[in-house]
Amino acid sequence: MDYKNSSKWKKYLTPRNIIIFIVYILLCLMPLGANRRVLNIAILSLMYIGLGASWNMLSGMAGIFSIAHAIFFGLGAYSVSIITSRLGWHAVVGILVGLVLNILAALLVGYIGSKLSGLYFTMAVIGLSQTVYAVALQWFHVTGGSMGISVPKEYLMTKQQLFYIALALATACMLFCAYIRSSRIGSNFVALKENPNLAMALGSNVYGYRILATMFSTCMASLCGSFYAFYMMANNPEVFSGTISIKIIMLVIVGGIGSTWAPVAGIFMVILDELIRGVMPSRFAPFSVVVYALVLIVMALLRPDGVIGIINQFKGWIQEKRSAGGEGRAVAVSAGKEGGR
Amino acid sequence: MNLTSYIAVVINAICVGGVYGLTSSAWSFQVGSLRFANFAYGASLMVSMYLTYYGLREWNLPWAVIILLVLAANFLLGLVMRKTVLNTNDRGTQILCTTGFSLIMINLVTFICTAYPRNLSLVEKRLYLTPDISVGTIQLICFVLAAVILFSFQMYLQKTWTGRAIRAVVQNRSVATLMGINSNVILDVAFAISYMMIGISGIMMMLMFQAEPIAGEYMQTIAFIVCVSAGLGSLSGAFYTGIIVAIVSASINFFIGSKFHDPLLFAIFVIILIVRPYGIFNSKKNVARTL
Amino acid sequence: MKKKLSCALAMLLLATTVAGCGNTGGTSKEGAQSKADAKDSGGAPAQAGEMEPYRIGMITQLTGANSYGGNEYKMGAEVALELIGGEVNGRKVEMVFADGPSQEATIAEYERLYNDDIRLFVSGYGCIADRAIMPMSDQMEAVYLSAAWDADLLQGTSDYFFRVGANITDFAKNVAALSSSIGDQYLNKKGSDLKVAVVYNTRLEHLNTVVKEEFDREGIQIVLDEGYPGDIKDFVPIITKLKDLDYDIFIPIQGAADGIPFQQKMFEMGYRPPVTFGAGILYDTPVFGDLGSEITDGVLTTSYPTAYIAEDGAKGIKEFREAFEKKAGHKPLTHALQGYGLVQIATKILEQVPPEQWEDTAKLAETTKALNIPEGELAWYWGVKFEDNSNVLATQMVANQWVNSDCLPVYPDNLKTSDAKVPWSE
Repeated sequence: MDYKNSSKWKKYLTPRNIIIFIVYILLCLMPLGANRRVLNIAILSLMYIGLGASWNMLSGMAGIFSIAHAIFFGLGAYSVSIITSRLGWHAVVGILVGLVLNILAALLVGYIGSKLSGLYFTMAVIGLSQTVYAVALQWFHVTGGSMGISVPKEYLMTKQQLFYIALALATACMLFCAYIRSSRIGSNFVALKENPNLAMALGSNVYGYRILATMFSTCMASLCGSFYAFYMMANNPEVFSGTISIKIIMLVIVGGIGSTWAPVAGIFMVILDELIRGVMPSRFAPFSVVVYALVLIVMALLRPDGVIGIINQFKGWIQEKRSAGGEGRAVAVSAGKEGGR
Repeated sequence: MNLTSYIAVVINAICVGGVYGLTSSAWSFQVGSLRFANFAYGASLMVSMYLTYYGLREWNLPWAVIILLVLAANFLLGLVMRKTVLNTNDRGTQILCTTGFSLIMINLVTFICTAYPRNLSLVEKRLYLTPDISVGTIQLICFVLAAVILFSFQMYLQKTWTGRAIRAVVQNRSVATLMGINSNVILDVAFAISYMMIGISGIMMMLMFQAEPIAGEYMQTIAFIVCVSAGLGSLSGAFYTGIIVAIVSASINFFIGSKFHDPLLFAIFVIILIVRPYGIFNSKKNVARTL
Repeated sequence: MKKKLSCALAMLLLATTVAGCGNTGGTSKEGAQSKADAKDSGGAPAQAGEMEPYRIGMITQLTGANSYGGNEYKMGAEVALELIGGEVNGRKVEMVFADGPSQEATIAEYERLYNDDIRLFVSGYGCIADRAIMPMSDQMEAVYLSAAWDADLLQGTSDYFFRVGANITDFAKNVAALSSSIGDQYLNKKGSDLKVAVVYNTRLEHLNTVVKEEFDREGIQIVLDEGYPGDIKDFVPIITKLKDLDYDIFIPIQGAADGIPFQQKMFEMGYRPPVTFGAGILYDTPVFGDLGSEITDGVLTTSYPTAYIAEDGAKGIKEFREAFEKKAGHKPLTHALQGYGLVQIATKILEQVPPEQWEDTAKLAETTKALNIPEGELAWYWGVKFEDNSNVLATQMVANQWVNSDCLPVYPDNLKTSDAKVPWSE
């Protein structure tokens, strides 16, 4: 009994976990010393980690390739804005309405996903995103048209408060993804991606799990969108734009699609972009999208398992170098495989 | 509403629809026959439009040179895309990489040319069929040209050796290789030729409308609608469906109001996809599941 | 090979991240250093008056779809400083420009300039991010002079954010009132006898909604209310609809990108509306004038006071026109005058506060709130007097008519340079 307890506790004391713990403590202390600009970058990055986690669950775990994830993000942002400013109700109602709208969107997308696959599904999602964008742009009385709507002044929060909320949001999304991944539901999602026919034959309710995966993902995106409404204080239809969708996809693919830590591994690209944007004149702003797209293409073609894959490969190398001979080889291969997930 | 006015609107829509049909059939060929999910389509169209504009207005080149320039540039673009971005067979990677490529093109054009819309400012004469019904001369010429080009492409595919080789590779890639055809090279050539068709469509669209960096996105959605309604891979079907889509679009504008055009059109598209994804004119089932 | 490639990729990505961080570290260090210097020099005014130049920030669209308007704002602002010699009461004043082609970019640039210790801002063209900046101004304690016309721009009162320009409701009231007087004076039609057809780009729906309300209030009949999305290509159905209708005044609410092809198509189809009365935006810019006098002659439009109002109408308008034409090489647009006006007001605020106290932003904000400048004193004609942070002396609009590719003011009487001719004939 003694032996079991102490080894269980020691299992969590790996170097990786210690580093993560220290970084997290530093993050919690950041608002005390940092200036406005650094906090802005940090808040946006944390929000993108949350969005990346939501996309990763949908496309990486469940294999439903969502090319216009900004729809769900934008629906969450607009719900909060409309409810608080047009109807004057409390912000929590806005967040809940956003969740409901996104669950409906998830049902629609899930239904489309069950009838169509691959190319046709992508086309349908693009058509859906353009419909939503056109409605947001033209339904002036509700959405404020091209000018958008503001969130009432009472909801303005300080950068420190926003930072902690973003940190909590990102942590919650990552923990949720990790929990789902290691649970039975997660295995069903992966089965849905790898071999749906076999999963159906083995008795898994493929249709239901598809809808469930989409619902989880869109709800997380909705919460991030609602947060964004409070961060920007004014929203316009650009929240549905393709640039945001591509940013999310890129950061997860650079991180390593499918693995739980992918959003965190890929977030340095978003941080980089914000840093450069701060020092470069806006004339060069289109270049940042060009760089994103290039990185996306290169990583998608050459290294689909992203940064996590590269790290695993290094680990494998190091293990190989340490132990010489055939026995070491076997250890290295298994260590490389296990480390990722 | 006046019947004569509606007829005038429909005739105008038919001419515009011919060009829609041409652009969509190029996409249908790429996606349906060659099996390349090319989502950089709208951006390539936009680049051709800008090349035409710059050739005509900024560099003052003669027409023959402009056409050659656009065709050559598109041929090269097609080859480059095939070698880099469309080199895989995995559908998801193709979609992702071409979307990325399209963003690169759009943003490079925005950076170099700014997002200010470019207009050729052509004042075209109108042909009056009756005192009330008129058709633009340039639009009529483009319509006829589009039909001619599609027809010649069909002839090319049927009569020439390369065309037959392309059809063989489309039907069964492995058997075609067994028969001695170099499938990869043939696919490259087919892709590049369909890109030249995009180039011609770009020139026509520049003559009729104006160019801005996001002009291609709208055309890409129209191409989706047309191709899905016609059935991917069918060339002549795409031409006729292009005309039908243009007529439907003009009718929505005329009767209901232009404000509802975008949401209605895209919503119809999503519904068609859900209800009949293999095409309204196609009776082959389960195509959607395998692509 | 693949391993080496992925190694190289990882190193490259790491290197760029570190470089990016290092760069920022450097910049912020420099920023801190200059801040310290500024504090030193500011806190010791007795030392031979060598104070740092005071910087005013303007974030405007220098690239992107509306860059021509943004650049006009920029040049108007520069002319404003040039005409006062670049200094107020002995201390130098400078403009700092930043490019904000979208709302997100504008906010990012605003934060960057704020981080660089700029505390007095004026709007740029389009004022796209002003409604997002409004709630932040009090928290950040930076004075913002806004030219935005949104109806719901101001949420309650503020100490630092001021709407200096016109209100969309006043502009729309003007469109309706002027249409009514055109009908009355020239067409002999009053009230519900007068029929108008409104065609607008749905991006400008906020203007259309208010214009429609004002028309309803005046009792004028709207026979066509046609909105079209921005990506429309083919205008033939809309123009055919117009052809079939019986109405008196055509009111287009369009931007440059869609308005120009629309007018060209109408000209091609040989259709000319009985009277065209443009609601500003495209219709008072030289881009419209470039279409040629065959299309533009006789077109009426309403706009903010332009740079061509009567010389005795507003003080300094002639000097502004001449200085701008010399600097830019072309005639000033209304936007240029707006940029000029905003900076002129900013300098008037700085005039009333001793230069060594300019770093005290709260004092600047108080001075702004108490400003009282009558109409006609500033080159842009409008006066400045704030009630609930809104300028009540910025309500006067002008009406213009295009003659021979020139946009001439025809209303009101104290600002006009010629009389309108309606309906237009050669």
